[in-house]
Amino acid sequence: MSDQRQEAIRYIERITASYDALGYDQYQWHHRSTKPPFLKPEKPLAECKVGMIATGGVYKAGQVAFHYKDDTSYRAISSVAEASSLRATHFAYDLSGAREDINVVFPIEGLRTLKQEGFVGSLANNYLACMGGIYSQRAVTNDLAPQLVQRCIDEEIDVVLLVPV
Amino acid sequence: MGLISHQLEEAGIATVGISTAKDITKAVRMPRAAFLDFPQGFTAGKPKNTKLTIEILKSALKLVDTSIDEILIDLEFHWAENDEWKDSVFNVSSDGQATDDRLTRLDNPQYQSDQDRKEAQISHKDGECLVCMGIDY
Repeated sequence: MSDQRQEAIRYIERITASYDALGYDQYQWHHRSTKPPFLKPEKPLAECKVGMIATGGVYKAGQVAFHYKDDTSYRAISSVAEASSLRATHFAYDLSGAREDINVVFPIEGLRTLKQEGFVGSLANNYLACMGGIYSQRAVTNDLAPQLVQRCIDEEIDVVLLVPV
Repeated sequence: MGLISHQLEEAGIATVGISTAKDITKAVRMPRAAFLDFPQGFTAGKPKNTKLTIEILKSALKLVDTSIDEILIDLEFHWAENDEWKDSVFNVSSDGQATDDRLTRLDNPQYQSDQDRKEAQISHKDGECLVCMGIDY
């Protein structure tokens, strides 16, 4: 019945209970207590250069694939790459959709359409792909995130679309 | 992804996220995000449904043009006729049993196919491997 909707899944509660039942080490969820930093671009979206960072374990054929044990590396993927040349590998989510159509975790074709329609100004030369489910917040904070940020600064990107999985 | 969004904003780059996990996005306090009530693995829509993906992208990205800081909107799309798919997600049964659908955390590259493995090895041999060149690893 379309009018019988459940609330959004409470993943933190469910994963904590599930890991407890399985006897796994608990994932250290990040809870931010203070307001996040917020940057309002000086120009409208239609004039912004848009990039993308996605954590679905996407790589391009010819690149080394990600591994499943706290891989904090990333791949740069050309924004003009063919969707059919992109792959997905990950330990923590159902890959069937991504392998049927990579756009469900890496909407590379949709972003090209938005550029053609003038909805966004331009696109980054490269999008950035990495893994999610990294246990070490310190590794993300001190190693992975600064590298991703530097790539975005170097490309003079105004807006980054974040696509977690 | 929250940690990454904060570092980007601090560096002067605006961010907007799409999320299928509302509680996690709230906890990490992404500056701008659109919640899509879909299963994990379908953050930007359904396979071969270009129209849906474009609607999702537009709904999320237009948050950049609002001045509201820290905004999380609900997208109106539904995964299925009903929400029964949610019942089995990270479910712990009444007798305390949980199943683990996650794959073993192997520490070597996990290719989608053997062909991908071969192609990556070829780019290594020819010295064109971006990983080896230190550009992209």
